[in-house]
Amino acid sequence: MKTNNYYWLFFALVAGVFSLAYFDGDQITAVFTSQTTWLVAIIAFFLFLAFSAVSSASNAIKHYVAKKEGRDIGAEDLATETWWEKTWQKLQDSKPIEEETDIALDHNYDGIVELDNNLPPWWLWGFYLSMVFAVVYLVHFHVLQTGDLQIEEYEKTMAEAELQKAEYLKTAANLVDENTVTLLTDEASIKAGKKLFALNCAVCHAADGGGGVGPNLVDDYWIHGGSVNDVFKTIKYGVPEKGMISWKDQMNPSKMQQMTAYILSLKGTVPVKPKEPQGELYQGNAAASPNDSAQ
Amino acid sequence: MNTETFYYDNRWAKNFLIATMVWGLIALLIGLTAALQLVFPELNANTSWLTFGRLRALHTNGAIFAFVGNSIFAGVYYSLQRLLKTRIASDALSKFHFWGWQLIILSAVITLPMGLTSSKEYAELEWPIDIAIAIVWVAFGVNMFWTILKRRERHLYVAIWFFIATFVTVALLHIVNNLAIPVSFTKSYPVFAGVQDALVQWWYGHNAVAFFLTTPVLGLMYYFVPKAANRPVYSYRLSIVHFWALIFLYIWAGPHHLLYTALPEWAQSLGTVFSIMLIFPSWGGMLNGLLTLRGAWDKVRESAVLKFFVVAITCYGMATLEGPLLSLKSINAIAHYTDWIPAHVHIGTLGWNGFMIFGMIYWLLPRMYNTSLFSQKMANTHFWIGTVGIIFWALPMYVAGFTQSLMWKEFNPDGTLVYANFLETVTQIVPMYALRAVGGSLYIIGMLVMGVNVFRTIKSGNFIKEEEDSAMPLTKVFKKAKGEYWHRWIERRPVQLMVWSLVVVLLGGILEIVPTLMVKSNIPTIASVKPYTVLELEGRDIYIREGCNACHSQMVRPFRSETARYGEYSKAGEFVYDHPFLWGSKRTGPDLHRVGGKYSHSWHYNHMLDPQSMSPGSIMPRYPWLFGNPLNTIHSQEKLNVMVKLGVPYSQDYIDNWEHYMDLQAQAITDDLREQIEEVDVEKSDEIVALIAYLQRLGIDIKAEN
Repeated sequence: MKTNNYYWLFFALVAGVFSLAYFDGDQITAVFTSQTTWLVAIIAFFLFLAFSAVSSASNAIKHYVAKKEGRDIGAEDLATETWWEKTWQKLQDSKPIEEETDIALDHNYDGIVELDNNLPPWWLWGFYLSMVFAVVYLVHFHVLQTGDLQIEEYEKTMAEAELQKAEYLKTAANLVDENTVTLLTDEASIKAGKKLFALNCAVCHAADGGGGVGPNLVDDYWIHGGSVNDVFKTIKYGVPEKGMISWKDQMNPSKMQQMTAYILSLKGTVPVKPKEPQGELYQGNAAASPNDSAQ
Repeated sequence: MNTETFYYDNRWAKNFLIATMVWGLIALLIGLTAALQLVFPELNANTSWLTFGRLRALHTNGAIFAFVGNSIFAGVYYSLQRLLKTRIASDALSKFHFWGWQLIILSAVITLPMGLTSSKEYAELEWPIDIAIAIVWVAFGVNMFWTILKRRERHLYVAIWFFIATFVTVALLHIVNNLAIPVSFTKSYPVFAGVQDALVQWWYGHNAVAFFLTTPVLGLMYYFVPKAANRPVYSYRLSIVHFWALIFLYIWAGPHHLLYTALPEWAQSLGTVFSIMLIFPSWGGMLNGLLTLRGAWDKVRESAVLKFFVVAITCYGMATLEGPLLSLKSINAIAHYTDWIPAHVHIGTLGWNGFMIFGMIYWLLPRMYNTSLFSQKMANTHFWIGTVGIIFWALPMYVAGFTQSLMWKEFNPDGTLVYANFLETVTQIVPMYALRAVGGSLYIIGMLVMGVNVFRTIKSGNFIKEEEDSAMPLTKVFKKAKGEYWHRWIERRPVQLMVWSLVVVLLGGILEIVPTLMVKSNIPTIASVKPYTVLELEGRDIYIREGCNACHSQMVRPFRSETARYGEYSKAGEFVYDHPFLWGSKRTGPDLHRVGGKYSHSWHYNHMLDPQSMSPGSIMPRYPWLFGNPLNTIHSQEKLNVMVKLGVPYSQDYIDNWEHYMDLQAQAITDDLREQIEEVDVEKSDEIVALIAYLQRLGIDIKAEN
């Protein structure tokens, strides 16, 4: 194998790609999910292809023209070969087509002849490098155990997420729970609640709250209580045994508060197909203060 | 010694080639139907045998075993005789092989839409058909080997090494992955469960790609590319190194389909590193193909055949770089379960397999019909339509894959998911599904153009049934040439070549699978995990029959974005009674492993009847037949008995009184439904009741422990 000064370039490239695996999961996700990265990579790849294609084509044409004109492509032409061509030739290490009869083997299978070109050095070194990668990877994760396995990785992410969340909640104004929730009456909140209702609740309770799979939310009768606190609580924890799912993992408290506001604002409207009343009569909210509770 | 004259048999190569075109068109039309169903769910037509879950298996099996399978046999029957200078050994075996294979395909076309499936990807066919496949495959192997033994060419050309490796490995994979105990003529349970079943399945699944879609096609490449270009093969040495490296390394890479799952991590890591090591052996094939065309690039401009080959080999190179990169955990975490994976696969099948096949057809048919191609122009048109078709197929799916994956993982600062409703991430990418269908249609239009061209070519020629050739017979004594390359030794010993190929592929298989089966620590048991009730087991079989696992995974990975969406991540010990495992490989819908107890019975009832009533905009088909069909319980007891044989602990009392237990559970669910839904018309014997029982059981056993 001939040594080559430019091998390092190829090495750096392949090593770069392989080393990606050792980065932290989030960093790598960030890099790989950034559209810019992909765009740049794709453009660079195509530029590279185009460059190689143009370079090899121009080379071929040069030879072809020279041959046609009866000129001998001697040393002087070779000397004018570009840096890229020379590098490529070394990385590829193939016999020129004109000399290929020298390396034609005496195999002949139904007219198919085989040449005895060397393994392309870039290919061979890439192969070796991938083996090195394999050993390093296994040693890193399973022998030295210096890399995080998936559960450790998960637990770290979760701990970090908890911290971030706590940090955020310190400053956020959406800490209401079923005990502290108040009835919002401003138009913006009710409008926001309406949107959330359409997206999440309308399926079972109908778009106008008239009920369907789930009960009617417009009338004065409530199965699980009709106070602000009760409605919020029903949304938050759900009533799984009856089919009402819990929304606390999918929606933050302020959103659930907005939804409560919208639901209670429906009182007195007339749905298209109202479901018959279920549960107990509750008349608290109409007159009562928002902090009223069901007891 | 005198030259001998003999005749090549072209009939079966031709028949396989025609079968390739016919089945190929059918398989792709089914694929197009399935693609359109994701855009227009009404196309499921409320008809059981037309639903996506059943058609998907038919499409994949058709594309792999009917389209590519027939083309491989066509190529082998044509090239083998000529490379060995002898007639195919047995006309009777050829005939048996051809008709046997077509019957198997026909039986797949009938049974898969009926819902008779083992649920294991690319191995869905039930056990009687599996046995038929094994017999026909062996007939093919015998015919090939017998021909090799009768050869007039001392050494085996590289194409034949690939054929031999293909033959032994596919036989091995097929048999091990389909080991099952029959319940009835149309139903069986695999001997492996859960994690082990998953490992065996993806050892098979990955190597079906490797040894059915890759190695035999490389063999075809080594014959047809140098023939069509009339150029010598670039490097004999490269052939040797990449052949052995490829078959040795490929077999280990299966676990890369199971990264971040409950599979033991040492196995996952093996999958990753062996995939990375596969890049260069795969590229060895690409290099030898493309560099063989050195000095023939001017011909590529003219010849549609060479154009097809160039794009095919380039697609092979792209897919075999992409595959290993997808095996890196960081990239896999983004791509797995999304449409990125189908995009990757279709670069391989439409590009590499399809275009190799088309090139081969255009080259082979005129020769066998002693004529020239009816229209080069049409062939070139086919090439361009097909290429644009591939791009339109793959690009939208890459975009869809990225987009959906990012949406799945996006959090609000308060720790809730931005797209908590899975459906939002689906409706976002439906336009991409539509574009993909456009790409598929273009590809099919290209095939129709080919059909016309082929038909006119056949019309204009005369089929040469028997083609004369002559060669010297092999001498008894062989004196090897001085300084011959060491590898020549095995090239004149087909039996050793086969045995060594087998040894090489067995290594990876055994070293990965056996420890997973034997070492207890690989699957920590969970005391609260109990076997399914008989009703749940029947529900599970409905889930399998409907192909729910084509769109729904049952494997919550240990990611924050998944535990927030679905619940606790899945543990190996939860699957110990899952014969077969149902982890799935694609999330067109949400994961279902923790769906148990999440919704009410009534929600499931309404959702299965009309998914859009519960999730407006859903692209899931409706399943009205589950509501009319009474549950078939003829085999219920036998199912329990088979499960006991497989090590699932059902008590004798339970097996004896299964009807009683089934009735109790079904009655309770029916009562709930009647209470929850007004005027519901449900009987406890309805199939839907069993399915609900199963869905409500999913993933809840570990909750009992907490």
